[in-house]
Amino acid sequence: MSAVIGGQILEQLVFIAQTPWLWMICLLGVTLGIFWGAMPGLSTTMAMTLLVGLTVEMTQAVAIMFMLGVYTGSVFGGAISAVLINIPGTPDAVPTMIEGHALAKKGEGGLALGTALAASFMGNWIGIILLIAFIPAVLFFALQFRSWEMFLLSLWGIAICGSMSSTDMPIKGWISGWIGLLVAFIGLDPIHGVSRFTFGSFALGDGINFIPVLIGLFGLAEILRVLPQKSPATIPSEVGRILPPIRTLLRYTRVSLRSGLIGTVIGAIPGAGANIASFFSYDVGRRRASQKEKAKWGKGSYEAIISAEVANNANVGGSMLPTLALGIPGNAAAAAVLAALELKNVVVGPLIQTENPGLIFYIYISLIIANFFMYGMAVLLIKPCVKLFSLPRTLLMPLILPICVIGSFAVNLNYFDVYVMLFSGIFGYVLHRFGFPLAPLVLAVILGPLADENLRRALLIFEDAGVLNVLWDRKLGTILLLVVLYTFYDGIFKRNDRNSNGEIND
Amino acid sequence: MDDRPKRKAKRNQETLPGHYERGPVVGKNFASAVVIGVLAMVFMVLSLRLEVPGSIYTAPGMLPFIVSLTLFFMAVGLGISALRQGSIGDNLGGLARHLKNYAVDQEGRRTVMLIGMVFLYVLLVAVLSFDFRIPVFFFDFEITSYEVVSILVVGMILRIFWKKSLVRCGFVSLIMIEALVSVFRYGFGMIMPEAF
Repeated sequence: MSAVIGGQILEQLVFIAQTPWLWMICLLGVTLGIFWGAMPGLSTTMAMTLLVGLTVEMTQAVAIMFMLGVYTGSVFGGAISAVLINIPGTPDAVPTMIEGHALAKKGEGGLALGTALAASFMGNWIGIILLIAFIPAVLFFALQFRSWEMFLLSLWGIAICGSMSSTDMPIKGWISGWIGLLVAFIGLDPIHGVSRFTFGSFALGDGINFIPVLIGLFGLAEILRVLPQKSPATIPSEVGRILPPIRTLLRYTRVSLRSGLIGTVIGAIPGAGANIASFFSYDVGRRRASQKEKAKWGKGSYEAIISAEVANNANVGGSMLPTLALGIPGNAAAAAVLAALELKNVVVGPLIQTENPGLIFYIYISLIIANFFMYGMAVLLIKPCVKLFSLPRTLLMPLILPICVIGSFAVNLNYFDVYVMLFSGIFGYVLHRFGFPLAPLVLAVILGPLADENLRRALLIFEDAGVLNVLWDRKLGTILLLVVLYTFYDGIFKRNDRNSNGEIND
Repeated sequence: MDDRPKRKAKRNQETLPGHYERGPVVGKNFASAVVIGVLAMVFMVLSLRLEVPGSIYTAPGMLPFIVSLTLFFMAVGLGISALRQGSIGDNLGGLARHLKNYAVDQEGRRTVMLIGMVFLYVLLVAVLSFDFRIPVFFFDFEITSYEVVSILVVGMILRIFWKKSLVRCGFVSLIMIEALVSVFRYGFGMIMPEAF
């Protein structure tokens, strides 16, 4: 069996090595992805969905290579705007933004980005290696997540995000998340098609898309916050050292492996996505950090950047597993890869290895190549990016405004989304003034529909079963339920202890 | 020597990256608790009024109701913590002071003006609809209402906040918007928000 797999991997390697055109298309995809991700408010999902149209005329091999290049590049690209101008391209870049921007303000933007890059590189590798080595085990574990577990996982993601972004008063983080959940419920209910909170508006029937909300809360709200300041702080233009020394990176080996494992496993759970992986790994990282490192958490910690970036990049590989093996995309961006594959008549699912022998390995080799190109291109781009984003904020911020409008409009080609972005921006500014974190709100808008649908499905299944039977039969769910309850307990009752240790907000 | 009051005062003035501004939070938390409490109650009522087509377990209003109810409890918790820091009078006084400072402060006024300009920008792009096509070599170069409105509004914002000459602001705005729109329109084949 292993000889057959080895033979298929070798066959794909020889094919790619003999086709320089594929290398060039991968480089193009990675470069486009990095630029796209670096634009404030333009997400990976948007890059994938818009660029999938370009693959129509491409052959199967070229299309896959191109899309995976875009995917890998844009995930890292999101970190550039997050670190340098405090506006994340994607919600999973929020922890990187919290830590990286604090470092950028101290003049360590180049090194912060370099660390994020090295972490992304390691994360991609860990994701790919773990998957190739443990495909059946990871898939088995991922498939234990059914409706009840998915609901709890979504709830846990929001709860963690709330506690992490507002540690001195977690209730404010949770309130922000709960408001996001209410926003997510707007529109037609997915089971019965009943209109919820639409007030007769046709536009609200489709619900609120999370991308305009993300652009508004982080893009427009940041413009409204920074631009009117008398002398908005800019990041220093000196780049200094970019890549961290190997010795420093080796110090984070354990953190990287742990975060990579978290990212891969969460990526393999259908629908969970990089957002949960990134916040979960960030939270675990803080809990496991030394007292000295904990004091830096939230004020610019390299270990925190590694925790978040390794996890969200390992998620890329992880999300490909349910996409290919089950035909269920791991996240929205993976759904675009699925669309590209279907455009090329590849039917993904359990029979993929029979009907398209070697394709899975071609995809993983493509991811590895894209990873190398991402590293090379990013090293070249970090210095110019730091120089560009160190321009006065009063010049940069107004130029981001049209990108916010284009970005929110491009999601559905519907101008209503621009109004959503405008409202979210103003609402985000008000929330910020009143001391509420914004990240849980965005995460809840993303995870709300998932939580709603899965809870109701789970309750239907449990209709005739007793509570004790459910708790006993669904052990993974019971563990998750305890973890969720502990997260709330920890936030409410252990707050004072934590503050005395001098963590995040102190 | 006990330096706790000093430390507390310092904490209240800090602004941390990626998190939220600290400030005189007493009045703010109380006001937030009241507004969120009312919002939660409204959503509870709206959730209860939603029809239940099938089993109660799949009721469309079930999770929204649970979320609104727990949000209400959270608002109560926030309100209680605000009242522990000061009486209702202190809270209302703190909020009034904050609002007064915001209205007097130049930054506050500039923010309101900026919100107005962004609002105007979004509205103008939605209302105005025209496009010109200029044949250039092998393709038609398009100039649409979106570009014109963007160049004007961004130029105006640059003039107010960047404080350079009108010509320089207009030039920067023109170059940046045209470059941006060209990349999206011709590079990625995207439709710009215009002609609606």
